[in-house]
Amino acid sequence: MAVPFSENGGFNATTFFLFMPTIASDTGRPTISIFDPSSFDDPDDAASYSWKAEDIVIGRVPIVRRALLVYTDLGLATITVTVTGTDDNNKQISSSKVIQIGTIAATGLQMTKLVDVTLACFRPQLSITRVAGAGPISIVSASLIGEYEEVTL
Amino acid sequence: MGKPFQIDYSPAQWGNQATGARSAPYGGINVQSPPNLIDPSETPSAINFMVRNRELRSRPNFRVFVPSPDGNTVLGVGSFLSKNSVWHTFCFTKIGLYQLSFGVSALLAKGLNPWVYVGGPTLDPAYFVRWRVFQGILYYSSNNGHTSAWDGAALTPIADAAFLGFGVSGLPPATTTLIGAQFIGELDNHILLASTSEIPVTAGVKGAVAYFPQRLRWSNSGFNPTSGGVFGANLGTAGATFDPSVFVNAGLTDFIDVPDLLTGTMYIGRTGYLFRQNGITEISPTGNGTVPFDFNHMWASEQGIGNVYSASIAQYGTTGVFVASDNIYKISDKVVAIGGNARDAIMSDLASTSIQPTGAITPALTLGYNYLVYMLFISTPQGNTKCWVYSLEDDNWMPWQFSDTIVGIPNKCWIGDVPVTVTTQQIVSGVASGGGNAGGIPGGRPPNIPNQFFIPPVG
Repeated sequence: MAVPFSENGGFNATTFFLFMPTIASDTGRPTISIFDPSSFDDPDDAASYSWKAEDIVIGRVPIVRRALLVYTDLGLATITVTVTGTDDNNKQISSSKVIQIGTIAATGLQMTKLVDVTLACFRPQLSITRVAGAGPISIVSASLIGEYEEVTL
Repeated sequence: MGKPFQIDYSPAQWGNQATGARSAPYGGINVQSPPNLIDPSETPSAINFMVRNRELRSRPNFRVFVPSPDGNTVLGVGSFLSKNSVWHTFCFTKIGLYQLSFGVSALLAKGLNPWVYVGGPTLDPAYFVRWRVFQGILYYSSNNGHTSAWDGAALTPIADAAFLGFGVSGLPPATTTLIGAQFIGELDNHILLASTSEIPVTAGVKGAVAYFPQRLRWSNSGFNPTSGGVFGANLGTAGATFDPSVFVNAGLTDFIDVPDLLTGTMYIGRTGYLFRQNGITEISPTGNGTVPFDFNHMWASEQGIGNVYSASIAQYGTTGVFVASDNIYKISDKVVAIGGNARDAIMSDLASTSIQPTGAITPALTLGYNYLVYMLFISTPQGNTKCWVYSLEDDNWMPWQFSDTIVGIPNKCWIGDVPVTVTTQQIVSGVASGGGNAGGIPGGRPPNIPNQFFIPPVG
């Protein structure tokens, strides 16, 4: 449909965004910004997610052997998989592994990644972090795998 | 060899056997239980992840789309469909009203300003510009003593569409009171202006702006945007008026029987809600011409549930969200607290900022990518913005953060082309800003340059 000539400007709309009036942090200048779901790889802001801290069995010190991630391939991404907990000296301890997931082709397929990350600690907690611009992530499920001693500490 | 364990975090594990659901949504943030006592579907700590459609995804790219039209802070944005069924996307700065051109990406790529100045009046940067569209006409006010109107066809807006007395050809009389407001609404065919700002005019000489944050004014019923053939004349002259001495169906009331001031409005069905910091006042049409509304203070206590931040209130259809002192609430057929297990973290963020938070409900982030969420934007002392995202479908909160400071109320805005990526650097370096602007202001078309007719493509 043509826009009537009598109209002062305007257009036939094709799409929309959520316009957000902002002040750009790098320049201090006023702008309008958007969230653009054509990309899930923000180049400026990092992301992280922690799952529940697990008692496994209260009072025991479990040993985490590996994490398992099932994800949708949105493209190459580099993430850090971390297990965090405390030891019996009340100190926070952690073990991390940087991994790459996904493919250049961004197939959209569900893929599985086993991550060997080992830590013996109270209440192990799995988390993932992605630095700014490290690629898009889409986690379908995650698993924390390990063992614990059945004897009393 | 110890005893093996495997703990799975999957929506498939959170299904509800009682209901037969095979999966359940993520629970979002839970800061109100120790991290080992939360539900497996929840997280004690996260940033910049979204939990949409049963998956955990890094949030969409946040990026600069267009610069301010004149280098000044953008006080409001939006889109409206004119009577000719043409979309106009507009923004406000303290200079006035601008509209977005067709082909914004191409203009940016050529270093041209995509915004075209439409007109004044100058707006008060101390307030967000509030706007509503009635029958294809955009009405807006920055609580500066003016309610202005533009129909998308006229060369310039009408500066004063709300005033007292008889207007002449759409203009206020020489002696009058010009009326602006913080909130514009409509109920039972009356236009309502809440928390007004008013300029007395005597024999053409304007006085100072006086503010009435406790006042509600309403036009007479049956305003007709096309009456007299002069758009905007519906309010002050031919069709309707705010002056009860001209038409008894118009009027005003000052809520001096409550301890607080007006901080927002919401209109659902045939009921209006006037929000105060500590209360809500219900407006019901009476059908009585001389007393068209009945006001019911649902409560008028010194402390209570109300809307604390005037720009955080948002509405989508029959659903509204507002932030009170104790929680965040959703209002539809009833009022429900939705802060949930994220409440304390949100309240902590709100307490840390001195910049007014803003809120918006959006059905989608772009056409075809639905995500019905309420977003609460809170500027942090570090200059970042924390965006708390509440899924109205899944009832969960997730925090996002971006490095820019939000300074206005976000809104869904249409564009007339498919955008291409323009880098922040291109915009801020002036490559993608308007030529011929004064004083090195990026993207600026000085307001004294006449507006241009835009000849759109056919098709």
